[in-house]
Amino acid sequence: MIAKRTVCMLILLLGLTSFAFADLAISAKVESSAQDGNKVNIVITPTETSSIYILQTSAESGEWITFRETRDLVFSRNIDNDISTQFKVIALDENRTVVGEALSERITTKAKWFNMNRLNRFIGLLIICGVILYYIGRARKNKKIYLRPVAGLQAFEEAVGRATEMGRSVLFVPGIMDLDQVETISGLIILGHVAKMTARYEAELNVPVSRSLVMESGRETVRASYISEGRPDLFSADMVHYYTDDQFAFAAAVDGIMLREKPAAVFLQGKFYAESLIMAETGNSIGAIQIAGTGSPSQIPFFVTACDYTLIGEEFFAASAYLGDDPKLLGSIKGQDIVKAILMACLGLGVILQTVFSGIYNSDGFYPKIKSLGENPTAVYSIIAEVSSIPLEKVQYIYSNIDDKLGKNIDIQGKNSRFNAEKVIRKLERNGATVDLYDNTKLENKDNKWDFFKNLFAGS
Amino acid sequence: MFWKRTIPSIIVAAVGVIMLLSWFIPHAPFDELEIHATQWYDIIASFAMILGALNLLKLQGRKVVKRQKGWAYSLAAVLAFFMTLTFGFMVKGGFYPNLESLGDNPEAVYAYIAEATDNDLENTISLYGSPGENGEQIILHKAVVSKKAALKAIDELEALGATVSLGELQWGSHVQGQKTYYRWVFYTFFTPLSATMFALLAFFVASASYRAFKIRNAEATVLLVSGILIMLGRVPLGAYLTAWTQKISWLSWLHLPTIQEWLYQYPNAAGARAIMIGIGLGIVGTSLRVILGIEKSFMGGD
Repeated sequence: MIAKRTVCMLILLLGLTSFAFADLAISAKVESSAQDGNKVNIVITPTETSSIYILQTSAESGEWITFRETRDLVFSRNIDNDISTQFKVIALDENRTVVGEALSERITTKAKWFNMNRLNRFIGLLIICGVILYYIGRARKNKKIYLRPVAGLQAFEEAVGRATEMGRSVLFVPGIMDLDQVETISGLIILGHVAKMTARYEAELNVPVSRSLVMESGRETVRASYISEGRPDLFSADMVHYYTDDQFAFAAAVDGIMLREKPAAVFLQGKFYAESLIMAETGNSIGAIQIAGTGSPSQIPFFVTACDYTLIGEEFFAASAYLGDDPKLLGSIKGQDIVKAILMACLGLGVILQTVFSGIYNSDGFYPKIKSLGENPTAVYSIIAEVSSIPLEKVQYIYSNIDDKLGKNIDIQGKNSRFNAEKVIRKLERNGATVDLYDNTKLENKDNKWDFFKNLFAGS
Repeated sequence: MFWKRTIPSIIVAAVGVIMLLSWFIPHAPFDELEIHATQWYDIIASFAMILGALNLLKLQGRKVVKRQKGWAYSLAAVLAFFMTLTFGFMVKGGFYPNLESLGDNPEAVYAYIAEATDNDLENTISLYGSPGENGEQIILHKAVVSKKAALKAIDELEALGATVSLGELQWGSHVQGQKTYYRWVFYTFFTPLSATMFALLAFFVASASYRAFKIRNAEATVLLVSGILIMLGRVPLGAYLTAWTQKISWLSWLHLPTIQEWLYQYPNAAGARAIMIGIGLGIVGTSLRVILGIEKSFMGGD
């Protein structure tokens, strides 16, 4: 399925809204968490208190509502978008007497117009689309495009021809999912080409489907194909017929058709799950020529085993361009191939970098582990806040009580290479802190890809 | 042509671009477009089911009427269709006696309920010892509890001195509720039949594996060897057979679980990811062709 549901993130407009009352025992800060959407982080800097209450104004009535009694000094609160709200922090001592109170400025949550967390994917999408569009444009200008031959696609005509010669039907299954899956769309596109062949050869076409919308769309596709081949007389709406939405009931129905009608050619083109092998093996048992194609990686091995030809991965999505003669479609396939070449080059470069510089520039390997703050904690806190991009108050809270044996790691914001970690360690040590290098790549439970080779070649 | 091809193409292109961009825009109204679009789709698909059901009845009914090959199966399909439809919309079952008070002879009531619900007496007393304000449902030990069966139980309980009223599941909740006809059909027919089809997979895997592992060429040989190593490495026997390698440090890599893990994590993962990248690109390419209107054959275009 498509995966599924994307999450639109709501982002607060107002940034740091700090406030403090010099004559009160506590101070507090409300900050937006930039990419976590409708999230407000509340940081409290207390003095000696027994408990702290956080209150929030109700969006409807404006009254103060207690939503949390806390001893935590940093926590988050999810609130709706476009809500104007205000927080109040009340500190009580052991006798439940109010010893401090702080009031935040009113803030209004506001979503952004672009999710910066997805910027890299947006750029990737632009590059992919740009390359594909460029090659579509090239194809429009009649530049000749060569595509390597795909055995499975070349066998389409052979399969339909065989069915015609044997006087048997052609069975086409466009998967078991609905029109919201790209694989189903791709399956229907291929159905259009197969229908043209059956119209040309006057072979009988049978298309069982498991979704009503696919049935309607499939009928239109087949009808258009028969008309384009000049054989509307051979078309019947019942060629595309519905059985059931249920996975295994549909598999049983298709198996029944195979065993009763013994089609000479079986096309399994679309999105399949566990029923793939049930259908493919039944088709194999009746001796039909089978051509499968799917975008479900887990079903490809089953199809490879049980079918004569299998369209693997992008071959399945490229089938329409191969089977048709539209240069624009061919251009888009060429564009896809160029993007694939770019990705292969990137992967190759990544492998080389990882192999050569592994452990030096590994971005997820090394952390400065602070064991004591030394005599100048303020400077140390500032450095940690700077390298970890955590607010200073939060850093003070997190790193104020460090176990000198266990220590505490400092996350350098996704740049945890040995190089960066050692740089931070040197900086902290200059300010009196005691810091070790924590090597995350040598965790016992962490999968270390080199262990196998080390054992293999070093005999250790 | 304009209404059947051009307008749908424009709708597809507009919706495609908007949905694509909405993934990058967390601001209203884009942030909830996907939810709305999914709901629209579900509603349309629900109504389209009627078309599917009518098509099923038409084709299967025709087979029965014309006594075509395999007409008996079609008859079973049609009968099952109407039976499920009836139990879904017209006859629901799911009645129950609602015990409000035990009366003067609680022992006899307990004994009756224990027998009627196929429960032991101790449990029955703990369950029905103090009926609440709304009473206590007595779930009779029957596949389906019809109104008649529930009334009969009520009569018998009232004869023992208990105060009992008739309760029933509401329409809608009967689909998942206990002792209804719909649930009976689902668990008595549908679930075992589905499980049977799924179970066939085990046998098909065996026959497909046998064919795949037949040594025909170099690739099939690699597949066979890898398959055997994976299978042996994943069962205790594999670890047991090669346990001796752990005692000799330079042979430790021959331990079968280590080899299978390496095969699984590296060559297998590399191949699977290559296919995944191809599929991802294919999906982007197909979507782009559909959005740009280059590919229209799924709508009946050329």
